[in-house]
Amino acid sequence: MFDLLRKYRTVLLAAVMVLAALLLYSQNLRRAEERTNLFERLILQIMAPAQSGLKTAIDRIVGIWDRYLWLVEAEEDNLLLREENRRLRSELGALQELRLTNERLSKLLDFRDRQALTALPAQVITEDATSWFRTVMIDKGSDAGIREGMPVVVAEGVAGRIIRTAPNQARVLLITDASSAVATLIQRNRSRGVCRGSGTGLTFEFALREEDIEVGDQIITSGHGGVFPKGLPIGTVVRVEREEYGMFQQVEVAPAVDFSRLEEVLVLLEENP
Amino acid sequence: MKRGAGFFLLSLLLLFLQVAVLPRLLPDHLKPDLLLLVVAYLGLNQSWLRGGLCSWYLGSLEDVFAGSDFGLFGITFLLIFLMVKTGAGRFNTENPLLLLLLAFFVTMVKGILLSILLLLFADAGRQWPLLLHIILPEAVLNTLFALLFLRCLPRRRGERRSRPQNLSRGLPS
Repeated sequence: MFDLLRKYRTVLLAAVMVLAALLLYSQNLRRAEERTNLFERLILQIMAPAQSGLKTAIDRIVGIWDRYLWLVEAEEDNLLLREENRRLRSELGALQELRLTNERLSKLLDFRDRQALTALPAQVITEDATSWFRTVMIDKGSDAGIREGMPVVVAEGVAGRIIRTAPNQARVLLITDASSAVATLIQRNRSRGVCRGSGTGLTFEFALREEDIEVGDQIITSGHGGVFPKGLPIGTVVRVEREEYGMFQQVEVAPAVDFSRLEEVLVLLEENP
Repeated sequence: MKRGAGFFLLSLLLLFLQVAVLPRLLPDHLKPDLLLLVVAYLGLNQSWLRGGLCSWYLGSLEDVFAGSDFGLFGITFLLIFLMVKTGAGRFNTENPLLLLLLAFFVTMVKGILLSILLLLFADAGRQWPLLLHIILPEAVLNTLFALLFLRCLPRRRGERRSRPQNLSRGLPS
């Protein structure tokens, strides 16, 4: 028996390791809640000071370069900015009046979804470790009240949702990741569908052939997925293809958010009581 | 103990370069997999047990910063290590060109393994176009970084060359 084990120990060892790794992976796949495990928390906590340190160092270098060294067009820029400032000040007065009107109308329509959400600002500190997936790490975590599943947005629209949390960091699955799906609707005609990531862009799925979808249509969240509140911008339709046969049409969507320049994000926390 | 701590720090340093430094220097969504290069190196130089455990650890480390399901890269890296280790006996592992070729092929294998695992355990239908789009540039990039990696290892490789071949190297110590 021992001779047999000794003879095949390399194969057995490899099999045991593969089996254990496979079990760990499948176990994590099945876990619905609290998906961040001890190992992940430990590594994230060890890496946190280095990541924020590097960001600060790079920001300082860039700041010194921009403020004190690269002053070639500073005077010209100054004149242009002063002129623009005068023009913007005059526009600001008109816009403030419009904003007040808008606020009153919003109250009248009882449109309180946005005001009911508390947003926590966070900075993007690192990208995904591989070229295949679309995730980013932010510098706020469970200590700041962030939990898995919370929506992450920027001024332009939806960025993604939290999939992992550590005390001082959290990982965001961007909507462009192939495993991401968001319940959405077309703003113009309220057609429902699911926006799935395709790496760089999005596709609007389950849109029936007969539905009227045009290039330029705005896609917003429907609020039915249980993650994102209703009405947040997702993107714009850039291509519609109706094949001769089949139930659905193929719709490509350009994300509202420029993910290559993602620096600051807002995490939408629990609704206010 | 000292070597273990050194390996742990090196792995964190490489991961840090991979997630925080290199994305600022390289084009969007194109980054080398430095930890995969270490796995290929382990496949050529380490024992089954030690190399297997180290590869699993490196994969798990990558899992912390990549993808959405923990364990995917852990098993992928372990399988890659086992493949390299199985084939290592048939090649001259002291030839530096082998690591360059390995860097290219293990990247391709990684893509295939990831696709298979995602297909078996998760929804990989949409991952395919992305994998195909990225796999070749990443393989080329990894080969270039393997070249840099080799530049950092001449002294150690020289030491190894002067040592007699230990046939019981495969045994866990």
